[in-house]
Formats: sequence, structure tokens, C-alpha cells
Amino acid sequence: MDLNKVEDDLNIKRKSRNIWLALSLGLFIVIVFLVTIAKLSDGNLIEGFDHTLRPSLLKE
Amino acid sequence: MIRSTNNIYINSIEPSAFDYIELLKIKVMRLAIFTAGVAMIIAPMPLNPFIALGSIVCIALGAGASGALNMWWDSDIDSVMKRTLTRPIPSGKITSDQALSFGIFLSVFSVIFLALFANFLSALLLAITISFYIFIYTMFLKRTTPYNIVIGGAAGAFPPMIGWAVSTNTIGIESILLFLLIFLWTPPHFWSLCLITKNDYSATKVPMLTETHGVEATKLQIFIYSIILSIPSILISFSSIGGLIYLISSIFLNVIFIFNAYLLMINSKNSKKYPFVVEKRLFLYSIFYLFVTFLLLLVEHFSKFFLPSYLVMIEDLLWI
Repeated sequence: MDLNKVEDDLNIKRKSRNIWLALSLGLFIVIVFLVTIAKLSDGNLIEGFDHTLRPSLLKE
Repeated sequence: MIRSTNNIYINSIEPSAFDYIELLKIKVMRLAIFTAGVAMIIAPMPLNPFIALGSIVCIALGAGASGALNMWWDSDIDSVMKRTLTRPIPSGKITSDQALSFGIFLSVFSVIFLALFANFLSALLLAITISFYIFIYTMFLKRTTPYNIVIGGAAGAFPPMIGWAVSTNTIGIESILLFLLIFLWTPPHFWSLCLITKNDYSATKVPMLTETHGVEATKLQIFIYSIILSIPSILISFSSIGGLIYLISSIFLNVIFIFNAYLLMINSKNSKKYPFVVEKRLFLYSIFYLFVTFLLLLVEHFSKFFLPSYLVMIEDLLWI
């Protein structure tokens, strides 16, 4: 058995696994972010309070 | 384990990502995703698309976890059957321990995140689905009774219930009817496959109906189940997710299903040139049947948006 060939094959498989794992984690992060936005907004606008007036308060 | 040139021990079984993906039984996962997705859409409560996306991913992973754990437990059977010889564990691409760890991780992950993305009821239903499939069907029923697929088919029938629960946080009569539809569809679907792969199963110790009761008894059971299947299928027409379009189409679909099952029952010849023609036709039709039935539910759901208003009014009047 050519050990160098075996090691190359193993490295290729590990690289493929790592790429898929990275993509899966990235997708998961995106999904969690989107769901968090959805749950926090609950259908309403999310307002940033960066020393500005809140439109919802003005309406009241 | 083998020792490399720089004295590092290498695990000789290093699966690639595709080997892990193969563990998930993508074909079965597709059914779960499709039926759960349709149930989410046709449910009366509006659902945020991002929550729907996250929930679908969790349901898919839960279905995949069930597949991985099933392959882990059934690796001894899989290594004997021609149909399953190329699966990751019998072919040596993945070890049993790797498959077990992967399956457990995905199960826990999918249930926890479905609870966080959607609600506890849908997560509980997903947990029940996975547990039922593994502990009741795979570990117990499959090797014990020829009616394993009748009861075990419940696992495949849960996804639309989960999808409905994601949207509504309830179990309604509609989701129960969808459950019954797939529950009663599974035996004729699976037994028609068994008729085609009968010789494969004879090599295992799995008590399939074709082995324990014979081909003629199996064909009769398929015919009986195709008749019983039409009951929830047509009853859905009279629920809040059904309607006239679904009713008419469903009647046609069920008549054709029963007719094909009848032809299978009376057919005793098997051509050497074209073996299992009737069996294959029924098997393929059963896939078509389920796909079109759920598609019709979607059409019925969206028909109110594109049908002329007078037709919608007529439909509402008929359904009082």
C-alpha cells in the first residue's frame, strides 16, 4: 500500500468534509439570523434607537 | 488504523462529506420535506417565510437523522441485500460508530432547533417521529412481524402533522387526515416494491409479507389498502383544506390506484422479457399519486386567489 497515496486521499476527503462543514455552519448562521429577525420583529418594523426619535412614539 | 510515513496513526476509514450525506437517505428526506412544506403552506395561520425555512431545515435533518440511525442498526441486513449493498456502512465508507454519532447528533440538533424556531409541539412531534422510526419500527417491528410497514409507516406520516403544528401550534382534524393519508398509502407503496425485490429480502431474516404469506396474499392486501386509502383521501375534500377541485381530482386518482391494484391482484403471469411490469407500474403510480395529491392541496389553497369570485362563492355554498 502506497502510504503517500493513502495520505493524499485522506487529506482530500478531510478537505471536502471541512468545506461542507463550513458551508453548513454558514447556512445555519444565516438561518438563525433570519429567524431571529423574524421573531424579534414579529411582523412589525424593527427600529434602531440611535439617538433618534422613534416613529412609533410620534404616531401616539 | 495504519501508520503513515511520519509515524502518525491514520484512521483508514475516513468518510467524505458525500458519504455522510448518503447516510441521510435523501429520497426519504424529500418526501418529508415536501409533505411538511405543503402542510405548512395550506395551514390557515400565516407563517413567516424565514421561520418556515428554518423549520423545514430542522424537519429535513430530523428525517435524515432517522435514515442514518436506521442504516446504523440495519447494516447487517444491508450487507446481504443487493439493493442496499452500496450503502455507506456495508460498503466500508463509514463505520457503524460514525453513523451512530452522526445520527444522534442530528436528532438532538433538529429537535432542539425546531423548538426554538417554531414551537414545542412541532419539536415534540419530530422527537416522536424519530423515536418511533428507530425504536418501534427499525429495532422492533421490522424483524418481528410481516405487518412491520403497516405500523412503521406512521413515522413517514408524521411530517405533514409537524408542518401543520409549525404553522398553527395545534393538531387539527386536517393534519390527522393528512397523517392517515400517508399512513394508509405506505403499505401498498412499500409492498409493491417488495414484490419487485422479493428475492433480495429472502436472503435476510426480515419477515416481509411476501415471504411469510406469499405473493398472492400480498397482492390482496395491496388491493384492500388501496380501497381504504381512498377514504381519508376523499374526506380531505370536505375539510377546510379541501374543495371541489381536490374532490374531483382525488376521485380520479383513487379510482386509478384501485384499478391498478386490482390489475395487480388478478395478474398471475410474469414475463421474462419484461418482469414485474404491473408491480412497477403500481409502485411508480403510488409515488405519482402522493405527489399529485399534495400538489392538489396546494392548488386548492391558492385557487381562491385566481378563481373567479363566482366560482369561489359556488364552492363555499356547496361546502356548507
